[in-house]
Amino acid sequence: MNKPLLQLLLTRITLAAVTLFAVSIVVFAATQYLPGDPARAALGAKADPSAVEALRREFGMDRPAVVQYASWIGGALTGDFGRSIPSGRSVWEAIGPRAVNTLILTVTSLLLLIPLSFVLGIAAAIYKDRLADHLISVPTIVTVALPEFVIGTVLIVLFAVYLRWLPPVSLINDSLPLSSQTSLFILPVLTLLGTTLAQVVRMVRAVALEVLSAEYIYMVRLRGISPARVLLRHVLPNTITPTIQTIALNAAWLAGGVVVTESVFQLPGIGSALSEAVINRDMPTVLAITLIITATYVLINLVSEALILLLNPRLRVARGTT
Amino acid sequence: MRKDVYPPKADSTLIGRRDVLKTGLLLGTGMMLAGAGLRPALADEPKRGGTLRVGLGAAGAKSSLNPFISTGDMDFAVAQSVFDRLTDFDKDGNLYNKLADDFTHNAEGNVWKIKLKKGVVWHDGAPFTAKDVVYTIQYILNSDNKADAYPNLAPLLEPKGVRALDANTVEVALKQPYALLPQVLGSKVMFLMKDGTTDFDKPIGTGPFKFVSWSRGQRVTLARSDNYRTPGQPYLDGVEFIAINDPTARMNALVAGQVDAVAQLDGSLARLIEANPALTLLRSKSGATTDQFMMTNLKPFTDVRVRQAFRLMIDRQQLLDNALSGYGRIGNDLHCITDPDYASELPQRAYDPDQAKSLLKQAGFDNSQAITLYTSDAAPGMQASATLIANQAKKIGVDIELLVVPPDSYYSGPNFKKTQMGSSDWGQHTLESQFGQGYARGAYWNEPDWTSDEFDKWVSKARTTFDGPKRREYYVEAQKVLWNEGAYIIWGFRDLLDASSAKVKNIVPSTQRNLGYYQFESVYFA
Repeated sequence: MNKPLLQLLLTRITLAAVTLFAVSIVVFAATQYLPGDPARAALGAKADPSAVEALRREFGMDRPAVVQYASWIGGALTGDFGRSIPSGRSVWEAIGPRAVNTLILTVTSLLLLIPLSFVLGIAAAIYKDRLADHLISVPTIVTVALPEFVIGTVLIVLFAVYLRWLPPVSLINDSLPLSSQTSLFILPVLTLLGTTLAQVVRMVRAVALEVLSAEYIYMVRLRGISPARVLLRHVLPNTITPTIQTIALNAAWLAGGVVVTESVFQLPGIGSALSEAVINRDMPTVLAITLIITATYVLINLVSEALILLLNPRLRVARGTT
Repeated sequence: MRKDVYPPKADSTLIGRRDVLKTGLLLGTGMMLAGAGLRPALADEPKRGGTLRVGLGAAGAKSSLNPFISTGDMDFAVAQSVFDRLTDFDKDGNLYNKLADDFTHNAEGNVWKIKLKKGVVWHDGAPFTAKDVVYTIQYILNSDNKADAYPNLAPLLEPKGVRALDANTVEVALKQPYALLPQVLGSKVMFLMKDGTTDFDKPIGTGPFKFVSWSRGQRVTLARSDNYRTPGQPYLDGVEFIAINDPTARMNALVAGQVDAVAQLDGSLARLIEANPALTLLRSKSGATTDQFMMTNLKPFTDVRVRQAFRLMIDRQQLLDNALSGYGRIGNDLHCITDPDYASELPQRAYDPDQAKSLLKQAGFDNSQAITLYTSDAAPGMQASATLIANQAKKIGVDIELLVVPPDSYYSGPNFKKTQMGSSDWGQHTLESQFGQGYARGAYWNEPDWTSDEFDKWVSKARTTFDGPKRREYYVEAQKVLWNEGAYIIWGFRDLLDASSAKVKNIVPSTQRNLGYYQFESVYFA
C-alpha cells in the first residue's frame, strides 16, 4: 500500500472513531431529554408508580445521566451494548436476527442499484433528448422527489391491492428459510431503489455526456472501433470514478433509509427495531442501532474515498509528490 | 399460504348426511323437504381444521410468554389461548365459573372454599388440581414476580392464607370479609399455571391451544390441545399470532389474505370493511372509554356546580359521531357500562347549554380566564374529542385552551394532572377494579383527585355485602354520587373494532376485549 493511501486511512479511521464517540454522546443526551421514560413505557401508561420506580432502579435509571453514560460506553468499548429494557436480553441477541433482514434488504438494493444506474444513465446519455432519454429521466426525477413512504404506499396499492401479485406486508417467518420468503423483500427493495436510483442515474448521465463529447472518444471513433467496444472500454470506465461518490452517498443513505421503509412494510429489521426502541424508550437498543447505522455510514464513505484514490492515478501521484 | 383449510377427512358424518340428502332427492318431495330442513344445520356444522392467522399489535422486544405480565395484545391473546382462569366474564360481562366449580364462604365472609372442576388436564397430560391454584396465587402474591395481578390480590390475603384442602378444594382465608373474590379471580391477569412452574419458555396451560414456537415480538404458533376439556373443541388445527403494529398494514394484510383476522381497527377503516363482502367487521360493545377529567383541587373545578356545568355543555352525540366515527355508545359520566351493577337506571345526562350557563353564573365562573385541557392522541378519539369539547364550550362563552403533547409522553409527562382539565382513557373494567384503580382515595390513577366520604361508604358496604341484589343497590348509590358530583366527563364508550375474512366463523364479539376476547376454541373455517 502506498503512503498517501495509508495516511488517508489513518486520519479517516481516527476521525471515524471521534465521530462515533460524538454521535453516542448526542444520542445519549437526546434519549435523556426525550419526555417519557422506559419504565413507564414498559409497564404501560397506567402503571403503578411504585412498580415504575422499581423497574427504574433495576435498570439503573435512577443514577445520574453521566454515570449511566460512563457505564454504557465502558461496556460498548468491550463489545457489550448492554441489556434491552425491559426484556433484559442482551441488545445483540435482540437485534441480531433482524440485522440479517436489513442486510439482505440493503445489499440487494445496492447490487441492483449499481448496474441499473449505469445502464440507464449511459443509455440516457447516448439517446440524449430523444424518447429513451425522456422515458428514463422523467420517472427517475419524479421518484427522487418522493419520500420513501409515498413510494412504498404507491407500490402497495399497485402491486398488492390492484394486481395482487405481491404481499403488502412483509411478515417474515423466522421458522422458515428466508429463501422461501423472497417475495416479501421485493416491494421494500423496489422502494429503496425508487428513492436512490434517480440521483445515481442523473449523475451517470451527466458524466457520460461529458465523456461522450470528449476529444479522445472522438478519436477512438475515428479509428473505426465498434460502438460497443467504445462503450465498454472507453465510456464506462471513465464514468465509474466520478460516480463512486454519488453511489457511496446513496449506499450510506440506504443504511438509514431502511428505517422508514421497514416501517411501511412492517419488515422486522433494525430500522423497525429502532423505531420500536424509541417508542419503548429502550435506550441501550437505540444507542446500539444508531451507532451501527453511523458506523456503516462512516465506513462506506471511507471505502469510497479509498476507491477513488486507487482508481485515479493522477490523484495518487499528485498527492505523493507534493 | 394457508395450510389445508379443508382437509379431506373433515367430518365423516357430514359426508354421511350429504349422502342422505342425495338419496332424499331420489326418494321424492317428502324427503326433499326433510333434506331442505337439514340444510341450515349442515351450514352451521363447525368444520375441523385450518390454522387461523391473526394479525395484531405486539410489544416488540418487550414481548413475553409470561401470562402474568401482559405487555401487548399479542401476549394477551396467547395467554388467552394457552391458559384459563378460575372464573371468567362472558361476552355480555357476566361472571361465570371456568375452572372453578363452586364458591362457598363462611358466615363472616372472610374464608372461602373453592371447589375445582374435575377432569381438567394440563397440556402435558397432568391433572389440574388444587395445588396448582395454591402455587399460582402464592406466585402472584410474591412481589418479586412482578405479576400484574399483585395489586389486585395483595390487599386481600397473605400467601399463607391459601391452601389446598384436598385435590379439588382450595381454601382462601382473607384478611377481612370480602364479597367479590370470585370476580377478582376472573381479572384479566389472573391466569392459572402448573404447580412448580418457574419459567415460561415453553408455557404449559389448560387452555384450548398449546404452545408450539415463537419468535419474540413477531410471531407465536399454537396447536390444538388434544386433551382440551370440551369434546371436539377446538375445531382449528392451530392459531398463529402475527405482529403487525400499524393498523393500515393490518388491514392490508387482511385484504391480501396474508392473515385471516385482525384486531383493533380504526373507525375510519371499519367503513371499508363493511363495504367488502369478503370481509366481516366484528364490532364489540365494550366498556372502554376515552374521557376527560376536571382536577378537583384546582380552580374552578373545586366548585361542583362548575363540574356539573361542564358535563352539561358537551354534545355527546356529536363527540361520538366525530371522535369515534359513530362506533360507540353515549356515556352518562359513569364508567363500566358492561358491569351488571352499572347504574343503567340513572337518567341520561342531556346536552343542555342553557342550564350549564346558569350553573356557571351561580358559581361565579370567570369567562375571561381560559381553562387548560391537557390532551394528546394517546387513545382513539382522544385529541379529537378534546378539540370538539373546546369548540362546544365556546358556544356558551367558555374558553378552553388545548395543551397537546405527543402520545408516548402523555401520561408520563410533567403536565399530567397539573392542568385544570386532562384527557384519559380506560379499558374494560368491572366497577370493583375501576373503583380500586381510578376512584380510591389517594390512588395515583384517581386522575381528578376526586374524593367523597359518601361514595367511599357505599363502596365499602358493597364490598362486604354477599347478597347480589343488595350489593347492586349499594353500587348504584355510589354511582349516584358520581353522577351528581364526580369529576370525569364520560361522554362515550368505544366499540372495539376487528375484522376477519368472511370464511372465519363464530368469532363472537365480547364486551371484554378484541376478537371475541381472543377465545378461539369454537372458531372454525366455513
